[in-house]
Amino acid sequence: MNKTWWVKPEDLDEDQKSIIELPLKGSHLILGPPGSGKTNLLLLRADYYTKAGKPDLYILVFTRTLREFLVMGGIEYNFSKDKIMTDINWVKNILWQNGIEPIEKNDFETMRTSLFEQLSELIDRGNISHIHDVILLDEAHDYSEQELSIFRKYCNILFAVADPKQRIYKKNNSVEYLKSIISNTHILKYHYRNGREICKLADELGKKIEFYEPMTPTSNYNEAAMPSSVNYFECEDMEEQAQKIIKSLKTQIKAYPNELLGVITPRHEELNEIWKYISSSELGKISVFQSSRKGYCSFDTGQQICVCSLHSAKGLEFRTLHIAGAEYLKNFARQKSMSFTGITRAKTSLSVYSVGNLPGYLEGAFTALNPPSELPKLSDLFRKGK
Amino acid sequence: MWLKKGTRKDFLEILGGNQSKIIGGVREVNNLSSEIPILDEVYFVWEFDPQSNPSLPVLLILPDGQLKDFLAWASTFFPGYRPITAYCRIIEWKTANRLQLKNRIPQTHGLEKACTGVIIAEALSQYSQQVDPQYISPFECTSTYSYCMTRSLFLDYLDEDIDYITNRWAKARNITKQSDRKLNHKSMRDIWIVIRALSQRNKSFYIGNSDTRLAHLIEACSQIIKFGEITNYTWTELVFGSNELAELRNEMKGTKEQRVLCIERSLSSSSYKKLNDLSQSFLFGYLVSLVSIGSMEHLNLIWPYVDRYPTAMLWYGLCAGLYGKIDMLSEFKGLGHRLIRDLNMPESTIFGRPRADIAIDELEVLFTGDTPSEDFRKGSKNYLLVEISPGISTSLAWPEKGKSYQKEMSTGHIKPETYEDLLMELGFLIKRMNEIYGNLSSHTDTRNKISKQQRGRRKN
Repeated sequence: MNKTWWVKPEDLDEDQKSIIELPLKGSHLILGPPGSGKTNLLLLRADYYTKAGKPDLYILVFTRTLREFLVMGGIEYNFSKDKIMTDINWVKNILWQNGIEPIEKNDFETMRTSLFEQLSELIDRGNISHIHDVILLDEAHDYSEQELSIFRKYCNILFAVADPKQRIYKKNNSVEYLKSIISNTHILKYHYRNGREICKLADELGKKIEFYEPMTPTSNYNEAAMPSSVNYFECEDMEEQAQKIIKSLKTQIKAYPNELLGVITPRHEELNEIWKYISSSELGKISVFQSSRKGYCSFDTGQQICVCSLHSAKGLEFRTLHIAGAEYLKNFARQKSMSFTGITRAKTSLSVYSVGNLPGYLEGAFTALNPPSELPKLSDLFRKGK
Repeated sequence: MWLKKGTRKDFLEILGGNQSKIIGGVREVNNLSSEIPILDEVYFVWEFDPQSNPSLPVLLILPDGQLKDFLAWASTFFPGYRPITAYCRIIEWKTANRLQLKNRIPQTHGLEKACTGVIIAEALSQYSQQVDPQYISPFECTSTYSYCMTRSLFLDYLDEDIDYITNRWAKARNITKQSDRKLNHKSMRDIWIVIRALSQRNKSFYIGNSDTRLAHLIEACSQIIKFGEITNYTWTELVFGSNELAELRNEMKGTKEQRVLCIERSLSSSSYKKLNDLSQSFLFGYLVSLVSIGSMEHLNLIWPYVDRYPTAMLWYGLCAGLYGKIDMLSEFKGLGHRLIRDLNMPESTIFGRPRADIAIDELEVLFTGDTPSEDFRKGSKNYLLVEISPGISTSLAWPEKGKSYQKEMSTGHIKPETYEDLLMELGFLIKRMNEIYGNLSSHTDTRNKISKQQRGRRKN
């Protein structure tokens, strides 16, 4: 997937260059919309620290899928892929190093809380054995204040990237807290990932999100070179969704060679079912399944299609994205932010599928994109049943 | 430059280290056009004054008809300088006159992307199944016909006779018994006529092309350079008035998925099938170039049809490289940049020292007779760089006979200069193995039909 990562100077805009040029010392917080290059800058910054003699660093991410995704990009750089970890594994490592058995629990959120509490107690006892040169934190908006304060204590330099609009895990506003513990904040204004149609859909959705800033005016996406599209399909069942997705992917792998294409679902039930269809199709051999329940795989260069949950897709980007089982978005807390995060994973082509109705805010956003050409006539309203 | 009119005896003195004996007749000249050797004369040319800086001449000019005889003589009597054309260029006067002896600075004519596109496409087209262009080496590219044609174009040698370089390239491969290429150089001739015409946009050749099929293609490519697209009139000419095909260009403005579907649909249309081979290949290559303007990332669309439209990949490379601004040279790990670096090398102008292992004329002489004389010094153990015309070389696979790397490898000491050769050789072998593996894999079913008794059966 060599087109996902930029490593050439000519690929950077002025805002991004100013972040590359930041001096080695000091902690920094980078804020920017989806597709503004935050994660790429994070990797470049890690590369810079490594080459400048600060190899004791960790790049911490929220999900395992994102970790595998970054490992793919990290191939271009000088630091070891072992430096990219999920925050959970990082905490567990420290606990083990200090002779503490990490608490294992089935529920992800409960386990996170317990592990960070264990680490917090260790710190309170004054038993920090080693402080890293640098911690680089991706998707920093999804951490709690307690977690962020622990990261801060465990490094000399904290380099974090965040976007409050994409917060889907924690309820508190951690970005404000980040600003209080990191003295230098930098803002990336422009974004490059999402095509015009996807920005328009995101903006329609964003109208329902607090403090939302529209994406369309700050988009530097090259629409002429890569026309974007957004489609919604109401289907009879999951099989119909899967068949539509497979048919579309067969064309997309030809249209977008060497680019990562995604299939995501809000719930694990639909994810497993979709994977069943894709893995048994001719696309199976070029697809990778990322699941917290069934395990994670590294992104191989030959595997062009990633199938994962919407939560796992956080921080990832796909040239084309299919969101199946979208009717279940309404089952989640912070569902609008989740929907926003989901659709902004798509760069050029977004297809959303559901059985039955979408959540109203999402349906409304689609309708606003493609309004009916003319209002229905009075006679049309009474025609049904005749 | 400095000239000495002499004989073979003088050359003997020069090679014997007795330059002082012949220095007397050396004089500085501004041009060589009026210097015509006769009878047994040999003209020796130096770039710098040999009286202050004794060295071998860089160029020897012989009377017409004496080249083979002279090379036979030199290779017989000076084995320590074999091949002599590795040290100085030796040409007949008619060749010197044809080349208009002068230092030539390579010029790309604005066609560097188009030419590298064609070179890479030709290198890829030698494979029997889809390969990742990332792993195409510059070496593979330097062996292509298109590489030599590009170098000729950049040095302005293509003006007169396109077949001169074509024949010399083919001859080099024939003499050294290189394996047949999937894409014959004759089938690429049309593409090079078009490219040559594009380089001569202000010259009469461009206006006066009498082959209407090629004239349309030249016009179309010229319009891509100028306007970024083909005009309606030319497009209609290209598709022979077919309404169905005329509509294609508009459909190619949709999303990339729509463009791909449009191409697949058009290939199976009856209107397309009615076109001649040249038009089919060009249109296919051009349409694919529209999927992602200025890029060669959609080779995957051509691979399934490469046997049906063998030159479509080259037309794709050409069309993709005609669009301005876009940095196609950076694709495939910067392969295009690397090729342009080599194609623009100024060192092999006529008055510089040759860089190749041997000139084709001497190669021909050494390979004449019952037992070809293959035992001469080369720059690499695995390939031979042959100069087919001054400043224009092609590389040929040429593993050294009767030797292996086994001994060298087992000592654990590999010379740094050998690494690259070994890697190149290894790369070739791996690619070949993959190719064979792919072919065999496709016959798995057949293999499974072989009975277990037959598999691995021992001879009694």
